[in-house]
Amino acid sequence: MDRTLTEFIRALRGSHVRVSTAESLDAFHALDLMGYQSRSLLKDSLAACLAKSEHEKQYFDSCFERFFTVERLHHIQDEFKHHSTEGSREILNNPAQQNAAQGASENKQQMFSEITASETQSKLGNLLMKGSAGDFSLALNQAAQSVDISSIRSFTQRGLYGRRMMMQMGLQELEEEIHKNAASDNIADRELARRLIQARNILRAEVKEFVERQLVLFTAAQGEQFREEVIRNISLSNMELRTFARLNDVVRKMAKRLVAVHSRRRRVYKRGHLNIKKTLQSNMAYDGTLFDLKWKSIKKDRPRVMAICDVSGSVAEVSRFLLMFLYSLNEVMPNVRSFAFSSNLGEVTDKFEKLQLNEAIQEIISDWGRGSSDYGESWLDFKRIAYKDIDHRTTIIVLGDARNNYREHQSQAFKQISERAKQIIWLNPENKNKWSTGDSVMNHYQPYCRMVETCNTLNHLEKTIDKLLKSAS
Amino acid sequence: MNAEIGVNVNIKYKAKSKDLNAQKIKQGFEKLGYICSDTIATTVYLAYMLDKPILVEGPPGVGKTELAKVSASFFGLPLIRLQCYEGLDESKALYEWKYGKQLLYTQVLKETLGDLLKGAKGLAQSVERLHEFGDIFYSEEFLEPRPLLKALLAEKGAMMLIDEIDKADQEFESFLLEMLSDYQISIPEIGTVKAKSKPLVILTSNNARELSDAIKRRCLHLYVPYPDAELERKIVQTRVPEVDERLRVQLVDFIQSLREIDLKKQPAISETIDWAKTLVILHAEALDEALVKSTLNVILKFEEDIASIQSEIANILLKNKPR
Repeated sequence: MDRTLTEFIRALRGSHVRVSTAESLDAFHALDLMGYQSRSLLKDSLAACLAKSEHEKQYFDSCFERFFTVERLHHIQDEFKHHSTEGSREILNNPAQQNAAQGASENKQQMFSEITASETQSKLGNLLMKGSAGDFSLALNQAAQSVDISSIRSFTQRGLYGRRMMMQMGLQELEEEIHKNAASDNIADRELARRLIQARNILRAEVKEFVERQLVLFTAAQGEQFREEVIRNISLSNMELRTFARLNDVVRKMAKRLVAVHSRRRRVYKRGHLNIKKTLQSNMAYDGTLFDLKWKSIKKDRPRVMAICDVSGSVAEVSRFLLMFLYSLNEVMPNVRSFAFSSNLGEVTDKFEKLQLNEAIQEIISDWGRGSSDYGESWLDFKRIAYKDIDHRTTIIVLGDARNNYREHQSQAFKQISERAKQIIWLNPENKNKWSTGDSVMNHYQPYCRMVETCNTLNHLEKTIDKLLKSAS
Repeated sequence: MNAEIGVNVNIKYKAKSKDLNAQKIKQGFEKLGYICSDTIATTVYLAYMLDKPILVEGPPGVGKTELAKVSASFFGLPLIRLQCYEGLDESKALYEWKYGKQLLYTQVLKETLGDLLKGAKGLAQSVERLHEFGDIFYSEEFLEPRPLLKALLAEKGAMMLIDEIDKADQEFESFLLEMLSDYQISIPEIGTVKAKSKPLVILTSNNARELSDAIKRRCLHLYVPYPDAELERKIVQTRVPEVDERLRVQLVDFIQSLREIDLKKQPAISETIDWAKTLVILHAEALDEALVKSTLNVILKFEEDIASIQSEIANILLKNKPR
């Protein structure tokens, strides 16, 4: 079976292109139809089957170029042809050696044509001296498979894998032959040794290049996955600035997954359509006269979310991610209202309508994050602004560490809010054992919350919001 | 590892199309006035041979819909078009019951009920007779086929164009899945309707929203970008043969440079063609600043784009001047 394609697909998966089994089957069919004759046809047809967005097409292109390298097939072959027919050009990839070779080329030309080397005996020697490019490529790939090159993980392993591959191809035998012939009295034998050494050097360079290519192909994915894993689990307040760009992607990806899971359940329409089955059924009792018409209508159920975020210094970073997450979920939670507070509270929903997500968050944090947290005052503010809009479907998410700076906690106001809303979910970036210590007044609020969770990594955030969406449907 | 898969690879190629290949499709399209790249031709060829739908993406105005039309006439298939929009559901896309007739039928049924039950003894016998009486309430007679069903029912296959799938709702997408992978649809009251002859399906999308992976998986994917200068010249030549060589080069170069500028809406192929037609009507022989200025509204569709380009016209023309 076409191992090349299988490996190509693996390499694709390693470079950001998601390929399913069904798609690889399609690619096999397409390949069967198109064959390997034309490179551009091959590329077009594989691209049609495997890369399914503009983004993926770009990754596909670079991966294809890297994988189906043409030189791999022709390089050595051509060089040897030159070598054996004219000896006109020294062939080593290594520029230093090339220079050295150029100086002596005149002499060598003659030598090549005059001295006939003895026949090589070793398998590898035979392959290098006489084999076709196809044979060589095949041997290279077979060796790569037998040393399981696809499990290469780090660039420090290049030498190891290269060596193993050459051993697999019969380097030992070749070395012995070189030794034996170099020590021989016969000039033809010595010539053979010289040529074999040359061939071995080419082989070495070729193998090195091959291994490096494989390294790039097979490790890109792991690195990416690993980085993402780290980002998901790192504490949000410790997040470094330079990871932010990547973080956006991760948040968006997580949000997309949640959207995919929950949107199916959510979207049902109120349609102006007669439900004929139901109508007939319910009118059976009236002798089949249709006067009680039934319509196809199902009520939609979306969580109504109000997010209240502490944006004072200690919690601002975590708030940033909560907001980012909530607004990335726009498709399943279209009507998020958000409030920010430190010493007092205000609504910031309109910022998200006007500005880009990141800019909006930045502005909110700089606008509201100046004071030190006063939870009590903020509940009073919240009641004033939004109390009338809270109903039995409203979920309120509070994000804060409940560190009140020894001010009045106003848990009565908080209780009233909680009684009017469907539920309050409190996300606290601190670990549970720190709650209610020092100036933290978590114990005053906790009884009125449906759920209190520690939340300081993206994984926590995802879990909590997943729960929220589940409870809504 | 995939040795077993290989066995099924020998799919039944369509006998009639043994001698078809991508190059022939390209030439055929060209005869029909649609100049396309190799990528497009290859994808259409694969879609035709493998019975796979094509998902075409790309900026508006690069000829995505046109591709479906020209494929229809190339393969000699009737074109059935389904324009997607928000709120599109199966009763508009797939089938609808003829409610009016169904209601009439129940009334008629009621009147004949007396005759039917004449002489029946007891309830049990009446019910039995009712059962014997053929029930056609939910049957094909009362079925009103919409585009998707029409495409499946077409005797000799059809070209199904599902235009702007990204405008439809997400659940409509899921609803298409059965149709796209197995060329069949299930109507609960009747059963599964299988395609008499598999239609060629083209879906187009402007990327208003990301399509689900499930849909993408079932389709061949084709991204149609803006054409390069050479291809675009060829397109203009085919579509507006009246434009002479010099002007053609000039106007295509101008459009190509416009695409490099950050605009609200970049001019697409359709705009290039419109512009070429306009210039023909105006009997223009070469582009100059005044001419471009007065016809700019043909290629740019936003006031602010026009305003921002006005001052650049001379520069662009100068830059593109043949050396």
